[in-house]
Amino acid sequence: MSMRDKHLAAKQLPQKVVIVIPAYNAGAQIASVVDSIPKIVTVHDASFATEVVVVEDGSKDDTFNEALKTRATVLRHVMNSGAGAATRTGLKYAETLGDSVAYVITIDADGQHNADDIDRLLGCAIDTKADVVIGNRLHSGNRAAMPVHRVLGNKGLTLISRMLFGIKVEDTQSGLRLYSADKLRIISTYTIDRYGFCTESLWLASRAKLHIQEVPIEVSYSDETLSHGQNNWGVVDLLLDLLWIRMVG
Amino acid sequence: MFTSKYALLVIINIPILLVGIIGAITNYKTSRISKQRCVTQVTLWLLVGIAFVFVEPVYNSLVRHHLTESAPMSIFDMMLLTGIVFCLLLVKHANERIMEINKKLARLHENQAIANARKASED
Repeated sequence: MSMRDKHLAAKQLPQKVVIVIPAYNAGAQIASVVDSIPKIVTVHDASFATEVVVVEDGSKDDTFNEALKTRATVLRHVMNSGAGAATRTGLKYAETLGDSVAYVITIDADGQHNADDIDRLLGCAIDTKADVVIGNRLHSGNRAAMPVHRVLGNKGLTLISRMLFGIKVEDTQSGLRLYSADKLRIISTYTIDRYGFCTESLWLASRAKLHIQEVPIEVSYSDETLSHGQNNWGVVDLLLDLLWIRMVG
Repeated sequence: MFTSKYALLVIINIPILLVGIIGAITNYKTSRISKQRCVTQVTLWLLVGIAFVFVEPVYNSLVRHHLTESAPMSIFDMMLLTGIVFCLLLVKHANERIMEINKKLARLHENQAIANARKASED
């Protein structure tokens, strides 16, 4: 019986879901994002306590202080290292929490994700016994909510990920993801510190033949949300990172 | 088939290529680089070696077909090529050291962030 199955079977044991939020210059939204995450999540009669971990990545604003006011455990990078590095720190922290952690979910700090979708990811993981569940923003239901350039950019990156790595996922750049805790050792070994980690972690998962699923999720963009994320040169950077790891390993 | 200069080019560069190939295999066996990276590096060094072996035949063929009017390789050209290959070896070595340091720095950064958070929660 796998570690996860043991947790699911023994429902009287405390099961935890760690929510990792990498945060950079997110002082305006971080408190509301953390507060939107429920303390207990119940899916299919299985209850999970949530522990929120904010990884503050050397922000220039008051993200750290705002995060400290919430219930989250706050990890702080002394220098800005990138979304990939911040996420990896959060995943490594989750690994140290031991067997009580059943799943780890990453969520963006800019407020584009809906905390209700956490249930959806968990439900999919439990139903399908998936090791990785990706929240897919690129489904038709989100067409109105997502700016056109973001849709095109994400679809383009997804196509490139498929060509370079054979990854058959519709939204490779989604920040809302679930990982089974017993597979963290595989996922957290990615090397890209910036946004390319989204694709690299999926590549590691598919090379290790992990079970990957996708579920449609909601997304909402505000002016604040749109000011975060990648600019055009960031995309070029990302492509170069992906080309490098594909060619050289 | 080979004049002495072209043979000398191959002979002088064989040690450098061997260092490159053995270095790549050693790094893979000591888990410093992945198998893919090892294969890439070994392939690169082998291609350089093969290119050196075929420098003279290719040059002669180009001359025969009037595709070049370049003079034959001089001793200076040979030393220059050897220098370039040696620099390639140095760059590869430096790149690997940088990658190692990068990994250590990332691990240090992560562990420091986690340790500080643990300390803050205990205080």
